[in-house]
Amino acid sequence: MATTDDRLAELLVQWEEAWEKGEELLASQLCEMFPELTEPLQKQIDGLKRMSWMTHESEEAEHNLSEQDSLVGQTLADRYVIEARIGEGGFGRVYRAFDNQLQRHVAIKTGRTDRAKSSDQADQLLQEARRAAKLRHSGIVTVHDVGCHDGAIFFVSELIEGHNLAELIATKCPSPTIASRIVAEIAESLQFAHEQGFIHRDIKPANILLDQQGRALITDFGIAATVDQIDQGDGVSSGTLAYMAPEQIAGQIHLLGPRTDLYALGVIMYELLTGAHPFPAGTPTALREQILLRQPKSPRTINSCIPQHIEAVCLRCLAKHPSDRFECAAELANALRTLPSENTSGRFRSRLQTAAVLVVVFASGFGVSSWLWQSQTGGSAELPEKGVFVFDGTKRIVTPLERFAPATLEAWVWPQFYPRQDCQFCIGSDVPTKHGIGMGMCEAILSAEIISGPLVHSDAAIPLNRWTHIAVVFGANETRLYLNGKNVGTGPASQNVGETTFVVGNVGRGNPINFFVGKMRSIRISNGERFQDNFVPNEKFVADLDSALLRSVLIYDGSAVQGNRVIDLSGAGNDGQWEK
Amino acid sequence: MAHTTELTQRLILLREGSPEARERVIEHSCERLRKLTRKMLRGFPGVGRWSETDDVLQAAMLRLHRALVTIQPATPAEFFGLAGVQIRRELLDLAKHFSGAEGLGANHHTDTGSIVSRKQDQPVEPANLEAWSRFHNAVSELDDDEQQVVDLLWYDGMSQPEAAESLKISLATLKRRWATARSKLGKVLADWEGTSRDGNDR
Repeated sequence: MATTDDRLAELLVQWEEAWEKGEELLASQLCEMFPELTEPLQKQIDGLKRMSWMTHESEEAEHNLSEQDSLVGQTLADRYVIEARIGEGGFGRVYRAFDNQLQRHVAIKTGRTDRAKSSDQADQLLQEARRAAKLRHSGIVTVHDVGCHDGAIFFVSELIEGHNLAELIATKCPSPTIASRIVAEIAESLQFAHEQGFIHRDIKPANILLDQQGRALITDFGIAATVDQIDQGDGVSSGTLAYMAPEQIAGQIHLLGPRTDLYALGVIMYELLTGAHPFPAGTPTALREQILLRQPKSPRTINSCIPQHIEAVCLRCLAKHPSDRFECAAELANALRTLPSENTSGRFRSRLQTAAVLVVVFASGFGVSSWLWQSQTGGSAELPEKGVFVFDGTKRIVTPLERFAPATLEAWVWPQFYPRQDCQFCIGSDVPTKHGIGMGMCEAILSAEIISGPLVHSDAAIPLNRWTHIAVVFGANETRLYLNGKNVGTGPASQNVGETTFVVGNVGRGNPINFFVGKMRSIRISNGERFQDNFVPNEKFVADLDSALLRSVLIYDGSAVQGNRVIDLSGAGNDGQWEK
Repeated sequence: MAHTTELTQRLILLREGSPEARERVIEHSCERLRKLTRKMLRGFPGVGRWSETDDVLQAAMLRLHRALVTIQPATPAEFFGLAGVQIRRELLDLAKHFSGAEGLGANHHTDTGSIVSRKQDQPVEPANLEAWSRFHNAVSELDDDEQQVVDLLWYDGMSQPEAAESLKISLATLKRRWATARSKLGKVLADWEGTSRDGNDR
């Protein structure tokens, strides 16, 4: 005789089988014969729903395996050897292939082989290839060739090694500087396409690739239509709902144009800046309604580090009516590339003068923009001093000092934002993707990296927008972390391995996310274990006359910079190079 | 399906005592560990930040390989069961490892609401490494029968018919255990999240 548990299990299976077919049975329906089981069954159903990701995983895996492409391993047009499927969209699949003739890797896009090969689909692909092939621009993925295999059209384009913007948005929260750069690059590429009479109509993060240098490239002009075609009434419905402009949703053909792409770019910018979509609707119907009628929440209420003028640019792109958006993509790019000049008060001008000094010191405009943004965002009564290093991911200081241990790293830092799911690197080894020793912050937490071991996290957060002294002693027996002189964490000792030099602010090229965003005014590296117990940090680091077991071997100060040369004030001659 | 056929074949060969089949099953388990690790860590880019994930995963895979090589199971079911347990243990260790000693970082990660962009209405995988640890621990607290099924289906990646055959039970029984096990896990994780949220609210 079945127990209650057996019966519940049986009913649960019944419920799940129906659910998988798209039918949601009520617990009360299933328990008509055993009404006393309704409540416990409902609880079990709730638990099961919650864990549906466990079954999706295996279904997805089986689906992928069962659909192992028949194309993989085949040679198309006696030339392109398909190596692997690398992407899939609503329209077709993208493969990595090797071009035997030109001996290079390419990307091949083709319609789904499991779908009916309609002549419409083939025509659409061919149309896409021909259109896209006309667009030659460094910010647009180049189409090399068009072909036909087994009755289906495919087209061959440049293979971009990297990832797409959707992956970046899903996993990282780029700084406003980086987000603005990416959007400006896309806008400049769009301007070129618009000038050629194209609008994309499906600008979305998945259609923006980032190559290994972090350069943004627009891909998939699969549903792009020429302005002429739109004039003929073609192409209202295409697009991805979340990125569709109000005029697309409303079917206002006469309003479709280049500014339709600018709206989508505004949505992307909003996501880059905040990590959230401007219209957090639960259903497509609600989303349509919000796009048409609602104003998006101010990005600065989600991320207060966003400068006002960047927010203004973003919201202007998201204007409901095209005429309220930027005139053209170039105007949008310009707004992001240049700094605001109006409302220059005396106080602001004095900061401009300070910034001008920094231009000379750093020979870079980025430091200035960060400085000005800080002055705009305000929020803290404590202002940065003159003569600081400004880091935004584009710059770092490379020292000639080889990594060693025991060592003590110290810095006065002024962080400007917390990454959502990542760590910021302050000082450490120049060994991208490998273990090193280093000091930084993971989200807000002061952390250290030790060779061949996990990160050592302290239990203390580094506050934003104020000066904080951080130090890590990589000792012979342990690693100690200090925040404003207080020991806030301990971990295992690091090994003494040379190999690389120390760098400040950013691990190195090719690590666009791993950088510190904010300011540092002083940096000191000492040979040996400078701190054993809690201490009062020095406001300024000066050369000391310590014993051979403990001495400063590098001191940098924001006030001691000559051109790109950062002067070592320790007397050890370890001048650094300000790199961008 | 190719995957199913291949595993079934291995199962038969394993039962016949084929050393090659055994080696291939071990390889399969290692690959499964790699896949589940990627799944577990993919939402946590900070993990790959300073430490190279592959180094740690490689060490875990070596440990798994060593453990499976030394297992002398009486039956294929026992072998797969042990493989599932080993994978779970390695995943638990990896979660702890990356979240840093029960994870100050992981706690903070939750506190700062860093998952704001996740889809709100869809059941999603554990949102941080602490939650992953909780999931793996919750599996180990299931009844033995249910734990076996989760090990084979989720950790080993078997199909339901394969798992039923391996355990010598009917497919219907397997389905019941699988559904009940997930339902229990869902409840445990919901309770835990409720407690965790209450704690944070305070």
